[in-house]
Parts: sequence; C-alpha cells; structure tokens
Amino acid sequence: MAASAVVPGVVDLAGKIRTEVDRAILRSAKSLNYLGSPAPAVGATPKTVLHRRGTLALYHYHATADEVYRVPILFVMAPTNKAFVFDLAAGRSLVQFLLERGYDVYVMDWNPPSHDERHLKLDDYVLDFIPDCLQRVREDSSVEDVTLVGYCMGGLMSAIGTALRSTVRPRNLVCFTTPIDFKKMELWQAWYDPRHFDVDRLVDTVGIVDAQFVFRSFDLLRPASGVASHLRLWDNLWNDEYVRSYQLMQRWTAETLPLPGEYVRQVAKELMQKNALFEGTLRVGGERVEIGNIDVPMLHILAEHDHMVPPESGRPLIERARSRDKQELLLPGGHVSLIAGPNAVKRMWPALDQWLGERST
Amino acid sequence: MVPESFMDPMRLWREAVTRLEAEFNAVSNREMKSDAFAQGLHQFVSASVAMQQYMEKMVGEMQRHLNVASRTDAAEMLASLRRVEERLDRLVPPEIVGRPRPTRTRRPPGEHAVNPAPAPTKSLGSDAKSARRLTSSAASKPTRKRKPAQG
Repeated sequence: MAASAVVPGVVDLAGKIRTEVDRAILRSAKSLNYLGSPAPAVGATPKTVLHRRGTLALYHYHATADEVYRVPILFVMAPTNKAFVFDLAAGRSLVQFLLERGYDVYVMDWNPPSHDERHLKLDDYVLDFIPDCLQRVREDSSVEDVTLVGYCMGGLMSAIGTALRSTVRPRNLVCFTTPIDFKKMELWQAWYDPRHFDVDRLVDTVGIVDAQFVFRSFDLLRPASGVASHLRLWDNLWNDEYVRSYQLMQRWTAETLPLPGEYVRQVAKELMQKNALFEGTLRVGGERVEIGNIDVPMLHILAEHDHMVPPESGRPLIERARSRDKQELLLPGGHVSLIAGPNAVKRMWPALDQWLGERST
Repeated sequence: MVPESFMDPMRLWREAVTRLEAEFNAVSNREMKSDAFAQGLHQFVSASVAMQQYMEKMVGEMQRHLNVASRTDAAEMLASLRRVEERLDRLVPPEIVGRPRPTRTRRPPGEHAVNPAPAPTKSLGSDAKSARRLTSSAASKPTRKRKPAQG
C-alpha cells in the first residue's frame, strides 16, 4: 500500500519534468520564430469606411447573418487608442461575435490628430463627431434608433452627449469602464495635481500631446507589469495561442494615439482637477452636463480589477441616471481584458448580447 | 507531507512572478501617490518637453540647411492628403453592391424583448431624399456596393 502511495507522486513529478523539458525545447525552437515574426494582422473583419474627417473614421462592418436586429449598434472608441481592440482577430473579435449574433455594427475610430486638430476638445467629440456619426448610421441603416456603445472615454463622451439630449439621442446606451467620479482615480489625481502639473505649459508648448506621453502614463500605473508580462511570454513561448494573444495586445498598446492638446487640457482641468462631471459643473457647448438627465435604457459594464478606471469611479453613472431600465455589471477582469481577453469571450460578450438582444427589436 | 508546489517548481516560479508583480505594483503605487513623486515626475516631463523642443529646433535647422523635408512638412503633407481623400470620398458616389442587406427582423432567442413592438422607422430632417430613404423599409432598401476598407 505504501509503495502504491509513493509511485503516483513520483510518476507525477516525472511527467511534469518531461512536460517542462518538452516546453523548454519548444521555447528554444519558437523563440526565433517569435523574434522574426511580423506584427499580427488585426481588424480583419470585412468593413466599409462610411466616412472620414480628419481624426475621425466611421466604419460599417459587413453583416454575416441573414437576419439582423432592427436597431444598429454604434461603437465609440476612446480617443487614446485604435478601435481594432473590438476586432483583434478571429475568435478574439467582439465585432465578429456581434455580427454572428445578428447585429448591424458601426464603429467610430480615431486616427492620429493633425496639428490643425490640436484645438479639438470634448465639445467637438460630443457635439460634432458623435452626432455626425449617429446621423450617418441612421441614414445608412434607414433606422432612427441606434444603440451607442462607448468604451472608457468613448463611454464618457457618449454619456455626456446622451445627458445633454439635444444632439445625441440613442435608443440604448452601453458604457464599458466609464469614469464619472475622477477623485476615485487616486493615482491620476496625484499626477494631475495642479501644484505640480502645469497642463497649460505642456499643451501650449506641444499642441498635440505625443503618443509616447500617453502610453508611458498608462504604463506607469503598473510599473512591474511590463517585466512580468515578458517573463510570462518566455514561460509560454511554447504555446502558440498565448504568443498570438500577446502579440495582438502588444500591437494594440503600441498603437496608442497622440491627443489634441485642448482635449488634454480640458480633461486635466475640468475632469481630473475639478471633478466637474461628478460635481455637476461641467459645461459642454455652454450647457451644463447632468448625468441625471440620462433616461434611455442603459448598461454599464465595469471590470473588477481595473487599474485605470476603478469600479468606484464608474458607479455614479448608473446611480445617477434617471433611466428606469438601467443595469450595472461588475465582471472579473481588467480595463482591457474586460472587452478583449479570453474572459471577455466567456463572460462579457454573452452578457452584452443578452442585454442588447432584448432591446434591439 | 510534501507541499504540492514542491513537486512543481515551475508552478512555484509562476506564482512568485504574479505575487512579486502585485506587491511591486502596490508599493510603487503608494510611492507614486506622494507629492515628491508627482513633483519629480513633472519636472522630468517638463525637462523632456524642453529637450524635445530644443532637439526639434536643432534638427529643423539642419534639415532646412540640407533642404530636406522636416517632420512638420510631412505632417502638413499628411493633412493635405487627408483633405484630398475626404473630398474624394464626397465626390465618388457609392458603388452598387452585389449582395443584398439582411432584413431587420431578428428577434431575441425566447422572445424576451423589453420593448417587443418594433417602432416604425422615422424620417429624419426635411431633406426629401434623406426622408425617402429613411421611411422606406430596410428590407427594400436599394443595395449598394462599397469600397472595402484598407487595413
């Protein structure tokens, strides 16, 4: 009996050693492939460019279902990043998932702003770009009702537009990880402290805030994660799927966008330093923004381990909205893995499909 | 009793990486919230921006002497190209598509629609062409071919 209790453990250890040796061989063989491989293709789902205007691009993805829901969806990406995070690759694409589930999908994407666009601010995004795209979606789809889906600052701009009610009037509003109470973003608060951060000097000097500045500020939130992710990559070099996912996310983060200076100035002064959206003192287009004016069906999906927008920063959106049909979902994951990680496929996408399906007819 | 992790040193290593990452991030975040860090960070940013401006000025002077295009020139060319593309987009009429658009009649599985009555499509604005397009049913909308997106 004693011998039979020991043998399985020894066999187990031997099996693990064999597995690790196999992985080490594969790591060596595949490391050269990794170093020599080109950046992975992203955003491959067929689409049409409906409209381009400076930094703005509006795409319409080609439907794959024979029958679609009546209400089309318009995604609003945050101006800091490219929208292909919604369409990374086959099996990792929220857009592809929604197309297969029978939705008509449009996406607002951003290109690096030109020097002429350094004066763009929240007002331009909320009162010009979003209403312009909504109108184009309505005309293209022949349906007036449109569901707005905004990610991070894209969600904030969609929520502001919906709260103003004059130009943005979606059928449904869905926000992913959207900050409202900026005082709850403690690290950002420290960095945007007006005693130390002279945003006027920065914006007046550069006009357009460099992508590296934006990228480094995101990266600084988790200083050890860069090294840890490289270690994990080495550990998983034998695993093609892991390497592919890593490369996709690396490509997305590497394509962080520069920002118009006025937008940075407004975010720093109004949102970060005065917390004006939460306090109800933010004015866009001369009109005071009151989140309590939102009365359309809305869903806010927050990530439990979001290091950029902590859940407590986003909670006031649902708490304050006047909508009778409103829901907040707190899902496991981080700021990006909520929408594009393996957990997104299992958790967020089906939840979004269920919520949207019931409100898209 | 031998701990399970003893039998799997790689697992031990992976757990250590995760733990060290979390601890280092937590300690760093605490430090980064301090006034001293914020002050140092912005001094560094200010110095970097000033250095960048100085370098750009120097390189710009050199490019001017060598009669080669500067980054500003390239940005202006890009902006001009964008303007040309935008005008072309407005000039080029939508092409005819070979495939019909799907009908907008899909219902959620189990018919649990929150608002089951489909709202009629409404006309938008006073423009006659626009109104005609919007009041026509989605199923009977003329099909159009479009330019495939790049990238």
